Amino acid sequence: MNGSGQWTRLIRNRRATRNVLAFSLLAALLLPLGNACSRMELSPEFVTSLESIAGVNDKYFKQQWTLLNYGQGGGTSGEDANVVNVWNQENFGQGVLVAVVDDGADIRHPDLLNNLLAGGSYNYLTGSDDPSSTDPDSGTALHGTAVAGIIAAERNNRLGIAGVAPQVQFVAYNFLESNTDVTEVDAMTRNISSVFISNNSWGPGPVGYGHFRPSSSAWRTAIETGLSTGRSGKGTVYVLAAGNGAFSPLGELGDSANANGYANFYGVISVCAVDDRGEVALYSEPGANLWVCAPSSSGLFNRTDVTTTDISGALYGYNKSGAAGEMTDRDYTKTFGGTSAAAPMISGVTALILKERPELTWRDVRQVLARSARKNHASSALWRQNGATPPFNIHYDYGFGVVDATAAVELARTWTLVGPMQTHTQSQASGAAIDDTGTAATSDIVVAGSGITKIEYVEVTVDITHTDWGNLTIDLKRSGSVTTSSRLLVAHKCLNDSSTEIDCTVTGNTFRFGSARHLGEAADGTWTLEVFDGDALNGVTDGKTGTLTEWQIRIFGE
Amino acid sequence: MHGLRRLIFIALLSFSYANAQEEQSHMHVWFEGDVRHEAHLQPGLVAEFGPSSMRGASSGLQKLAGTTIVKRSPGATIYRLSPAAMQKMASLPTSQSARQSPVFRSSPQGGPLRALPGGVLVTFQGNLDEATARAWSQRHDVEFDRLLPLAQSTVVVLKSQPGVPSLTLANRVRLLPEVMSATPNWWTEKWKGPDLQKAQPGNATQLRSIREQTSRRFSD
Repeated sequence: MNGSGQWTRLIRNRRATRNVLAFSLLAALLLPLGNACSRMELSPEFVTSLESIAGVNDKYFKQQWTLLNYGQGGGTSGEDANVVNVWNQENFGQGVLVAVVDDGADIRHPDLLNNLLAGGSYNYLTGSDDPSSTDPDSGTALHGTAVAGIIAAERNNRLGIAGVAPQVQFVAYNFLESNTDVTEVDAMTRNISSVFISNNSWGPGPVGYGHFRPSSSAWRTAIETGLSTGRSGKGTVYVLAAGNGAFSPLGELGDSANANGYANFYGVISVCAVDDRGEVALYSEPGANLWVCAPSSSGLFNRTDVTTTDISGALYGYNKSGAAGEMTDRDYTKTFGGTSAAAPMISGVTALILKERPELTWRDVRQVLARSARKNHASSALWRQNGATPPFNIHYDYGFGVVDATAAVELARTWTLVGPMQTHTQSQASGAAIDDTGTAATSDIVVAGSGITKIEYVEVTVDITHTDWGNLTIDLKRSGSVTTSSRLLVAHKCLNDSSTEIDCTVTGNTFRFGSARHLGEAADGTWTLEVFDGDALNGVTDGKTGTLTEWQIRIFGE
Repeated sequence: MHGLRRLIFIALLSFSYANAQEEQSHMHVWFEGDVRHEAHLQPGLVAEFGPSSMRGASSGLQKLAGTTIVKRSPGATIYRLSPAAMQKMASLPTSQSARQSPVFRSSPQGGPLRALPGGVLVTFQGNLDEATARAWSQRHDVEFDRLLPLAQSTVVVLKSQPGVPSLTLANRVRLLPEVMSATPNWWTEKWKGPDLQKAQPGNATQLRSIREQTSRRFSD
């Protein structure tokens, strides 16, 4: 995107006429400076004007490049979530309830308090409705406070920041403080008839060590409960951070988002992160299961992170006394980031979408986000188009691209609701050998008469016996008129706590992968699974072999 | 009773030390439906649950000589205890809010940590109301805890001691005819950001290059 991208997008909005007129005048005065003019060089007066045009008086709004990026901090103008136009349409997420499922939250924070649904939160340690930390020094509630601010901080209260959906209501559940299979289920289903959006800026650990991290069947059943009964049957929208482990401690490929059994489930929106230049954040995990990205920290020391709410006061939080590189106002932090910060951006935009069209189901929301996503990092040669009509742009780092709130809300306005969801499940026994030379073990499943003309998600469960799953690369391919492929797994190392390479093991010898890349395609046709020793192709032979015992494809769509 | 449980737990860990080379003795099995999973005991590691403020200090684990904190993770702190420290655990006062469990991984070599804070999740075919679930529990001599509100099936949580007893109970209950699945209530490692290791400016180009290579490996 060039430097005038923000202007173009603002001007496209027909409803924000008065602001756009003023903006256009300002832009007309300044654009002759040329696109080469870095937004960093813009005068403070321009920035002040820009903020007044955005209609925001929050003190640190100019630091919120994720919402309005005019190049502050060295980023690229326009590389943001494009929310200001939505606000100009008086859409602030009113009437939408978001659950922040995290480590708690400072619900008395002055920038959050007015958007809290009183009595709706839950503390798993005390059983009370107050998920503020009982011991802030222990590092609890600070993460959830930061996440909540990105979604729900009040706008135009002359305090610190504005959330993406600054009039949304939120509740906070501190499930991470009592993290077990049982509390996972509870946190996904608590107050589910009322919860529009469940934000989950967490994932299975450890981060970056390459391990397969399945979800429990109870958690998946809980998600399905929310999809079928949440929001009075329209389905709760589950938003999950895709993960921050792209780099291992050895500086190599660490985790893939598709080895995360939570983020690769069909019922969730898996969120990746891009930096303030619209390129993949260094830590953001790649995968065929990624849905959309949102702006967040870059993963570099010298770049701008995310400004959001912090536990009030100087004693606790990210920004407590003595914290390096922080703001003087201890109620806020400017060092937040990761896919933890990207997920709540998507939750906030989803709130704006559901304010515009509350009748959208969870499946409609997913498709609106995908269809309206912006193709970022256009110079990347790794973008592909799938076989949908019209095709979706797909990328292993970016899913369908970066969220665009204005485009999403505009699309939601005219979106035709999806029909009933159909599922096609088919299994195939194989027995094909996985040798140590890189020759693929292949197996076909021919899908016929599925009745699914528009795929929404594909899950592949493989049953493989192999000493080291880290050797394996797994592709799902289609043949015929549609040839979209999904690389489900890439050969990589698994590490122990000492960062020594160990065999990657999968308990039960089965693992489920997901792919968003076939969105909108018809399901019928030949699907081929290829499993090969990816290490062997890189010249590494270790004598480890295995067998593709069986695999199953589950196609969701209409 | 509580002291007995602690002694059994310590004895188990001590046994683990004494037989560190015998991996089979450290392997436990649990099931998710019909899928068999392995859980490999990690000798010397102890997970402590409960409120962050209650972990360590109240149980005294942190004060024991030969005890080090391996990891603070959401919901649990993982300690490494020397054999002597484990012996001393027996004399510590029992905390009201902190619980301990041996620690497992899915492979003897490594992998994500998991531990057993207590409880078993039992999935039934069809819908059961609470009264029926309680009656079923009584009939089978297990302690009902709560019903989880899931749409597609009924999940009943049973109470159990933390650690291996919950695994044993799950494996017993799964064999009962009405039960589709019985799994121990696991604590598993979770992350929350943004504890990212940020790259120094000098490494940015190199790291960006490595990241791009990663992307290319995914692309066909």
